[in-house]
Amino acid sequence: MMSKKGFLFTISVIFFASTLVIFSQTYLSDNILREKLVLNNEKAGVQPFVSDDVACDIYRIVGLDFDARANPVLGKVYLSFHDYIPKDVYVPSAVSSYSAFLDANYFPRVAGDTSLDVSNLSDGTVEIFFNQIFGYYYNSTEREAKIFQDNGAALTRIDLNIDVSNDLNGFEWITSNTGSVAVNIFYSDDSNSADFTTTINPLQESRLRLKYLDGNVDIVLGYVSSKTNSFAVDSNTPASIEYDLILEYSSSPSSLPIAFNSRMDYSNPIMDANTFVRHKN
Amino acid sequence: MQSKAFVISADSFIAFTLLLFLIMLSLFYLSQISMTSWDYVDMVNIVRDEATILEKSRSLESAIDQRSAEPLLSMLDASPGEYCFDAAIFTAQNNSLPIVYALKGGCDRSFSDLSSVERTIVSTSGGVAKFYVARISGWVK
Repeated sequence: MMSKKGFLFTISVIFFASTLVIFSQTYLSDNILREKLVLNNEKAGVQPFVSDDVACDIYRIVGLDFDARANPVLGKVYLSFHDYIPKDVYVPSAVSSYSAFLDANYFPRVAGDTSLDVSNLSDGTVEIFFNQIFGYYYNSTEREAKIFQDNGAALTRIDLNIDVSNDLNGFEWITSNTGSVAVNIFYSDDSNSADFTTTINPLQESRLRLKYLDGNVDIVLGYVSSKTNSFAVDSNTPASIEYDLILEYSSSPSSLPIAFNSRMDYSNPIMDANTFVRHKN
Repeated sequence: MQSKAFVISADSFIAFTLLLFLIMLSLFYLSQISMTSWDYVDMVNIVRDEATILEKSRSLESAIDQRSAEPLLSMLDASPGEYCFDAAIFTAQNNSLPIVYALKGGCDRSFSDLSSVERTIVSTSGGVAKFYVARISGWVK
């Protein structure tokens, strides 16, 4: 009777000890699986960093400082630009060279397969989107920069500080439509300065022409290339132009992600992604 | 009676040996569990953050334009004290010999685990776009 009890005790101990082994083995296997999952996901996590890196570099090539801020309380959006015409480099060829550099020197060393389509940036026109509501366009050949709205956002104020490396010969409002949008323009060049304070109708064109001996610079406000509530600087002088611009719009977007009109494709064994190259401030 | 005691002794000996073996086996399995992948993920994210700071503050671009480690050192030295970083910038043509190299002050390159990330840099000074690769590495001090 006593030995039967002992035998039962032995079996019980072996049973519990075996359970302990099985549990610890399962825990180890689970940990290995989790580790594998973490490392695989980490490889995919490189994609937004690559996209941001590329966006940062394109941003340098385009030579534009910009910021987009929204004030949901006031229902306003402020777009700020610090821009040059012409750019430091010829953008279409610089973007193409950059893409070739990435293909040869960088993408082969990034985990996964990455490719960049910059055809929409190297075709002569740079396009930057702000949540598909606003857009910045720069044409390298035409020496023209435009800022559009594409979603019914109403322009409420324009502040422009423009400096031209030339000598102003005269100016003229080619078209002028007064309205509700306050406009403040401060102009300076090698030897002149002037203030233009007015109001414009954002649905119609108001064009201020700055005249030089070797060409003109047009500042177009309101109706620009079939878009209302927009802005453009159009130059046909060889002079360099530097301007600071703040556009105030009545709009309440939840966010204003900044994206270049170029696409990055990324794939690895656990994910495929196709996105615009996005810039994070 | 004596033979019964022997059976009990032998039975308990086997049972205890088996129990000891199974406990040792469990401990062996538990000792194989490692958290190093989490450490790796944390470190690589810290290095990515540092690389982003260096790029967006234009320190990498300034270092290239000035051919000097100073812009990098001022940023690396401001990073959290428990981590060490170094940054090396290479031209597109030569990725073995850096044109600029900076090691955070108070650090030497002795580590058990190293995390590295690369960022591309564009310099437009002189009216020509030139391309570089910056390799930022980090380790626990």
